[in-house]
Amino acid sequence: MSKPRYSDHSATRLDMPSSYMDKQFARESDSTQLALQKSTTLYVGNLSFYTTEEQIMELFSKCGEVKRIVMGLDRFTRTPCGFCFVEYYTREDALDCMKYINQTKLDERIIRTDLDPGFKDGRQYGRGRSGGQVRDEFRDDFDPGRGGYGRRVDR
Amino acid sequence: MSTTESPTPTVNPGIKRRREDDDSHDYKRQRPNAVQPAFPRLRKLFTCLGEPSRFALPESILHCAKSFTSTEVDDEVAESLFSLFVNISIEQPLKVFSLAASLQCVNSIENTRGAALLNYLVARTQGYINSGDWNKVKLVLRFLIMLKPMISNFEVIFGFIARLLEKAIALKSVSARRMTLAEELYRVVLLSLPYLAVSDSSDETKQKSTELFERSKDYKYSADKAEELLNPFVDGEAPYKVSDSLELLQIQLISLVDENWDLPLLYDYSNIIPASEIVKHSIEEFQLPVELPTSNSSPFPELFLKFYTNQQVETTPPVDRIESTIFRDLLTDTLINLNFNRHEVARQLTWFDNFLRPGLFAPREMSLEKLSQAKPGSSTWKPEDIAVEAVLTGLFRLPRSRLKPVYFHSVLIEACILAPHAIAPVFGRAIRFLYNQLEHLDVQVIYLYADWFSHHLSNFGFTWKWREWMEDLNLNELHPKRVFIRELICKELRLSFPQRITETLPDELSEFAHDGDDVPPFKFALPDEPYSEQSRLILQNIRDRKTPDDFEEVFEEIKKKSEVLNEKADADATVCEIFITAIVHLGARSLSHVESWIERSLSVLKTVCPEGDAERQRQVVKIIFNYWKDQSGTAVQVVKKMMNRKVITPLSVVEWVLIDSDIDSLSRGYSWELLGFAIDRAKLLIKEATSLRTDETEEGGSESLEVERLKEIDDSIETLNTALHHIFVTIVKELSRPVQGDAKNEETIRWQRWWKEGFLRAFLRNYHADYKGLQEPLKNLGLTDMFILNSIEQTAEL
Repeated sequence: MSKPRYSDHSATRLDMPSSYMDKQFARESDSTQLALQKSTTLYVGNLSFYTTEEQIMELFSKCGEVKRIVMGLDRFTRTPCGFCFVEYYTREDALDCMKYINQTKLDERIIRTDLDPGFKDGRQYGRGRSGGQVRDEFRDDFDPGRGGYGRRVDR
Repeated sequence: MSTTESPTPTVNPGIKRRREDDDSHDYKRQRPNAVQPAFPRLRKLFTCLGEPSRFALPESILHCAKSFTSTEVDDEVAESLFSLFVNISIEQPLKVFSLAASLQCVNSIENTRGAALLNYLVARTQGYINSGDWNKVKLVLRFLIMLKPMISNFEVIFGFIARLLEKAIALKSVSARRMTLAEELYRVVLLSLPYLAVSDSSDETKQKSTELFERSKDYKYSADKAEELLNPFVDGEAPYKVSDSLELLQIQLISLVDENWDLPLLYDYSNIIPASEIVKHSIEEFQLPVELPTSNSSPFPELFLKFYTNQQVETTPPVDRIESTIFRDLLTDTLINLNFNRHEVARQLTWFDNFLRPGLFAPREMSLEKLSQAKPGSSTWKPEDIAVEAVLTGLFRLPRSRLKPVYFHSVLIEACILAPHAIAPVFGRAIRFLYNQLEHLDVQVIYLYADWFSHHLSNFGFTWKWREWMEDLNLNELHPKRVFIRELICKELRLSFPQRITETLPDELSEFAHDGDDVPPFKFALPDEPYSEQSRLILQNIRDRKTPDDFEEVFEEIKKKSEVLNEKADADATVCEIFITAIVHLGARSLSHVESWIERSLSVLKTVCPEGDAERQRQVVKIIFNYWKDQSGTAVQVVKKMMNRKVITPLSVVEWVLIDSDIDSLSRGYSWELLGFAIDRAKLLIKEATSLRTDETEEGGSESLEVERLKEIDDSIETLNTALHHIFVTIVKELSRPVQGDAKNEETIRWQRWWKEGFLRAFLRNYHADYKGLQEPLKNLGLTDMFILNSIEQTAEL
């Protein structure tokens, strides 16, 4: 039987890269695309600034042995700024993590995981002008886990 | 937009015409495909079939059918749709009944589509037969059975089931022991029978089903000694009789036959499908290969577990009724096959009564009090209880769950978010049931339970009614209930942090959440310590990335000093303790830190803790646990890193847990984790070496070098295998060592023995395949304990 044009699963698969990743990497080279298909690394977002590597390890090793965790740091202060990369030894564990851990809570925050083409040096730093993540600069709410109010440096 | 006026262009000479001047907004980019493509539209319709909707079920069923027949589809889309239907029957088997009804309507409107569908289904089933995926054969066969009115030669299906049965009986008759393939086939047969009666209540079908069932009694089901090892309840103290699901199914079918196959399971679809207009099609015979394949890798019997028993009202079907198996089977298949979308799984499980006959279950969200006052004759089966029981059975399956335990956690978390009022009390009852059974639970189940419950609580603000367990704090320190409370809090701490957890606990429990230092001090470097000066020098040297030679001097100083201070002291041990503590202390900031310090100092680590020095390696584990005594989770991770970096061997970790540690530490979650990690690590090392050997053999190269290299690898595999054997022998030897003590602490001794036996039972069960060749050496240990001898014998049957 030939491969059908459409996914014929009876429900959406949760172990796919998010539309954000799709957009981010749609114009990238084939090698990046391939990396995304084979990658064992996940981007993890919406962490509290205070969540430790040990806590992340405790939750993420429920899906398999974790090879390494790279904490996302503020570019200037070198303190955690609410994201990290988790690398597994196998692709299967990474996909299971998308299915079972994504959108559940860690440190009482709903975290977001996404398949990532792989960690490269430099990506551990926030890309916002304040040094942290960009999303924290466009926030109006008070989020005690992420340094209070958003930090709009341009004001 | 103006539609009444005619669109005459306004004449406006001299002024440039702008877009906005036009009253119409037609300049907007036209959407090329105003009509949604056929497949996504139809997929949405069919996958939602049977779910809560504002339309009545018959209406939805007809609407789906008409949408399908009124849409022109090319071959590719048609095949995608058929494939989708099969996947619905596999991934969401609860929906197959309404789906089959709708497809019968399709057939009555346009019978060529019905014929094409049947052909496709038969081909797919044949595919699963050829690949030995018997569970999928069961599910697609059920789909075909539900399409019975469309099939002119239904005897093909009866014949196929009969042939499967024959095969099963023939396979089983060869051996008195269990046979996975025979059991799989037998399960397909037995689970198809009730649906034959459900699809068609004619006497002919009933008679044929009865004939098949009578023949199925020739399958000599043999109860298995090993089942005892797979029972989550130990000491024969189960709150109900735990049985093998196949054995149970036989019993249930006997009473179903006695009731003349009366099984009102489904919604009555007969009014929807016009009986007169049905065009029947013949289907092809299924081919059974001579050698039947099987893709099932799990050789373990499935036990039927219950978590809701002895309540004021029976909220789940009694175990001798076929419904209990049918529900469990439908829910388990949904759970396992749809694991790629836990949100959908939770939705289906929470509302699974939707897909079956109205009135079969009690209304949702009904409390037990209300249920016990329900009118006689009305159902007391709570859909939530039945669904949660299926998930818990999946989670607590021994020796291991079919998918990672965290999946089952996530489904339960999802269900709780989805329907808190309906699910939360149901959970409460399961949690209390397990808690009350703790002293009769398998050790592995206790840790699975603590792991699940702590993860669950971490998603719901750590709120739990701890007060109801307070009395149990007076129990013996090793009593499973007391241990469970401690371990649960320990697990919560690992996912969170002490201040937060303390907030959620009553004062009596806050001692369990004691607040250790984030970074414990490097005690040797404190000013009053004898080795203060040297310790600080060591820290500095590590930071400066000095070579092993540079450390020589300071190590000598320590040794000399230790001889002066205490003649008996082992100078090397002191050096090791100070150095390892320094590394762990430097790495206390985070796991990445400790990892990088270990890596940087690897050469020095190898000098203070030489390869092959088992005693020194055991000491390393001890030092790590001493440093992280308040945060055992971190200690476990550091030990793991040391093991991964080959500073210490898996065997040394096992020996530390079983020989060096206090016997009471067996009740600690970290002991369980460390033993598991160590064995897995030892197995991984063998696997790596073996695959290295295959690579080398394939690569080729110069002849002589190759022989030498291969010999080297073979030797290392040999060494690693011996190490793994040594681990198992150590486990059995140490855990079977009789517990010493006097009459004063009789209870403590009893519990010490309980934990030892529990660990032994669990390890013999979980790793039976790895020590198969060790049966003899294990017997030669001169074991006399009947429990152990029995357990070893039982595992031989797995």
